[in-house]
Amino acid sequence: MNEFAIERYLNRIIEEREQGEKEKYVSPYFPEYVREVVPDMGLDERVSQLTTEQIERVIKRVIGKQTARLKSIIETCMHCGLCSDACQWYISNDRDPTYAPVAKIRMTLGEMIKRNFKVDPEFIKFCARVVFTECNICHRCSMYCPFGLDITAIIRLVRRICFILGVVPQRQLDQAQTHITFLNQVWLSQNDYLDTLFWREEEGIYELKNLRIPIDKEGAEILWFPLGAEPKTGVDHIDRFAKIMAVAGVDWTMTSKDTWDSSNMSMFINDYFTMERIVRGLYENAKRLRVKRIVLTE
Amino acid sequence: MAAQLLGFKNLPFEVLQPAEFYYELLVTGRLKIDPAKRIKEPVTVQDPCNVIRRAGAAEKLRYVIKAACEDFRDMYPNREHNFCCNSGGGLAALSNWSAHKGRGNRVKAEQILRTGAKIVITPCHNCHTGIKDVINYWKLPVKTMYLDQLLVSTMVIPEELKPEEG
Repeated sequence: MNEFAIERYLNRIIEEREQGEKEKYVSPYFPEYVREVVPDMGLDERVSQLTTEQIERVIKRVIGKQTARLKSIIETCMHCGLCSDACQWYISNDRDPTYAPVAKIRMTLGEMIKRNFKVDPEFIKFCARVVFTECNICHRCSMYCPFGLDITAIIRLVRRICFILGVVPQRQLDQAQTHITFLNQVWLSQNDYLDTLFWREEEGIYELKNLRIPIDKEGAEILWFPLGAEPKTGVDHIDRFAKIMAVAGVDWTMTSKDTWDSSNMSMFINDYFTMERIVRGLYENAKRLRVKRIVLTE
Repeated sequence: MAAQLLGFKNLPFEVLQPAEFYYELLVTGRLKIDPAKRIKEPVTVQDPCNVIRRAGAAEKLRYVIKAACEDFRDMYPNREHNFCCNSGGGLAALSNWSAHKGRGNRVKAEQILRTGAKIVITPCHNCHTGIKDVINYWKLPVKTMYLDQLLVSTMVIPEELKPEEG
């Protein structure tokens, strides 16, 4: 397809999809911010229990000492627009300025500092929507900023404020809490995890002779950590990795202890304590098994 | 940095992304690609932010794909300038926002259509979710494929490893 055909094709799809009047969400602080309403328990219900004093205390605790530094970052920005052109949200939504990376930090942290941390719960809901569902922390905007301002670091600070207040989209919060409880993201207990590995080894023998999934083999060359969802819903990844290892003749192993999951949902909502527990667990597994290398899943 | 905070002076082991590891297997000849099985359909790749922009494994990833595919076409922009799949940063978990995510990544749909590829290789679980959202929302005529899927379907399986008939 050439440029024009692509443009026509995508315009037709969006016309089909956008038919009919839909309810719109307009931010009480920024009338330019108009979005579709997406019901999300984690955002809608938790804000009703918050108070202004609570919010002020949390924001002070997270950014209190760095306020001047953060303010200087926001004020250094020249509004050159290089970050906006780097953001796929901005380009894809008809260049709507409320999607620009610098708008995201000015509308959230900039506004908090401007109002001297006195903001109402509805504003926190708005912030959570901006930082959790409209930014991927992909670092593309920071890469193009001529002043080298780290926009993503500020987005992460706002995420931390929202996390401490408990205003996080329900599915993200659920996965982060699973990490707190089980150190994997899918509520999978240790028995089920080990059973899955044994089951895949049994099945794999019919496809490749001598296919093994070694567990807790000390001194192996490679220690492989799967993603939490793999033993639960995507066992074919375990099969395929075992096949590649069997064909390549690599001495590999998997761990039987906790923290076998290489994903880190707590990192995305900036729960520092659990983040550290996960990485420490992964490193300690590798140290205990005296492996030479860790390979993570895709 | 993280190693020092956790009490290690230096890590006693290396941490590798799968693309780097598969590259090493191919370069050292431990894994061989069967020329007859190489994928003939046009193929493109979504560069995962953590593997490309942070770990810098863009060329290694391309080596693996070019070894296993006959017609590899890069997106534009590519490598560390590629756009995010729109599921990074924890958005992959938000299945109730998938239309919002799909609509918010029109630029990726354009990128994929411009290459004319039939398969998008997604060497990351988050990218896989994100590209699936884009494909579903914009009704693109492409399918996704993981890197391990690519290798398993094209590698040479030695005779002695094949199971006996019957």
